[in-house]
Amino acid sequence: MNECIEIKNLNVYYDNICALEDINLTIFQGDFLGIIGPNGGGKSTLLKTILGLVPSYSGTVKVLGKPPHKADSSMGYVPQFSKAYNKFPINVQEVVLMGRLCHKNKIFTKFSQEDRKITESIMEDLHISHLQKRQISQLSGGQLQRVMIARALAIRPRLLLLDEPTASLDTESKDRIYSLLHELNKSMTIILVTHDLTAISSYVKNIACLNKKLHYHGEPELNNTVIKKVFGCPVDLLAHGVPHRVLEEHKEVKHA
Amino acid sequence: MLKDLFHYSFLQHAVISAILASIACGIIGTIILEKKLIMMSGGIAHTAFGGIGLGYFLGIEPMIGALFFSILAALAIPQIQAKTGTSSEVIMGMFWSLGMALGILFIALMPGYPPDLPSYLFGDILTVTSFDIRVMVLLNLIILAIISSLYQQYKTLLFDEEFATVIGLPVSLLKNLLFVLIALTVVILIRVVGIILIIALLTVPPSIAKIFTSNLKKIMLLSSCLGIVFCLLGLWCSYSLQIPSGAAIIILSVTSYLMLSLFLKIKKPGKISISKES
Repeated sequence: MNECIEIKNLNVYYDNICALEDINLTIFQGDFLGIIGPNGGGKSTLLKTILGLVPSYSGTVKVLGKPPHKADSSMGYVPQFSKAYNKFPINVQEVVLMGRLCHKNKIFTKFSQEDRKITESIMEDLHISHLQKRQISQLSGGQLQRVMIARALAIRPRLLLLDEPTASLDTESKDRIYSLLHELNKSMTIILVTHDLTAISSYVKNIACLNKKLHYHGEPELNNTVIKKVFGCPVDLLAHGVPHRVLEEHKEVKHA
Repeated sequence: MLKDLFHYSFLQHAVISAILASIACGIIGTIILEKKLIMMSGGIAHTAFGGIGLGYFLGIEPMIGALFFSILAALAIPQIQAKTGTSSEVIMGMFWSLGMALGILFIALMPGYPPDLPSYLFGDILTVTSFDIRVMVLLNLIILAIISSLYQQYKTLLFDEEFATVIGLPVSLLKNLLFVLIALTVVILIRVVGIILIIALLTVPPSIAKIFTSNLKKIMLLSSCLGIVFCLLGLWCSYSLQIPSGAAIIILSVTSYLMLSLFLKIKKPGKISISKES
């Protein structure tokens, strides 16, 4: 398998506060990685470092063999939509077309017929074609999230990064987003930051547990020792999707 | 007034400058409103007063001084904010007063009192010179050229700065350029409504335009047209009623906005909530 992202000895500081410490992580192409961890554990920071949004860090970060800021047309980014920039006067079609801008960042940009075809087929796949002319402010949470994913896909990325795509969505919208990501994972690498410990279980191939340090990276089977290390206390690991149970049954483990 | 328009060049200048100011205002005002840069624009405008004072003091055209100071402020405020980590509101508030203070200082240092000083503070569209017009045309062309050539980039930046960075747009360059454009707009507006009244003319037309359309380009166009209507009506009121033009324009715009939004609220309480959101 080819390496998609290579992170070596990464340290990130905000002023004097350490956000990430000595992170070593390799993500392969075709991977579906879920990054979990407590609030302030550096999940979003890691994502932003990969995206080239963190101005300074030490260590090396390589995306498809290039430094992050040079790999901009191969990464699609889906930000946390709760940030509510949704008062801006813009419709769905315009937002999705924005993704095409990275391939034609020049003066007097006009989107071509091809750009429109690409975005239209993406919107069809995500079932948002009927919303094309709708204002962003008039969308529901689940719809807006799909628009954000469509915009990221319009880049035609090889790598999709999502920051808590299902936060504050209802179960049905959540399931739709996850099965969509599962489908997309067939053709691209996906990295997902989430709080949703149990729902990711059905879809992700690997998880990374982050709390300043990378405590665990591997198969999505967590035991309480790792969880304890990451979250500081045992977390309720009841999985709600019945057939998919990522997390092992709780057993009384006697520590030697 | 129409007959006088053909006779007096000062009236022709007034009409031309009203149109020129409204174009810049419509485009940049829309951006200011969406990007929440109203304080920033106020800060730049008031800093320009320092430049006007310096212009008087050095015996050069005050407009050139204003241009210099406002561009300087537009570029310095974000820089200082990034370097010191102070909140931008604080820095802008300081520049706001500092600019005025410098202006007062320079004027105090020169002998006598400049007779046309109030026209820079409160605007006097009837005293616009042909030199002013030439400056305004040039600045307008710069604003039009930059915004129309980088329209898609600016739309993306205004909507989602983080995404703009991720897809590799030169975000800090675009932002600095935008701040300079705000400075140019401020200078264009100084002669028409004056430093103190600028903010209303920047915010009222796009706020009204947003009630009628939710397309960024159309908001810009409609704001420019509304600006022209307000400025020309204000000019007419000012000329026929012998009242200060800047004040007339601002009172007209603000009352129009208030009346229109009240009217819409009473008429269709359902619809206004949608247009407010968009």
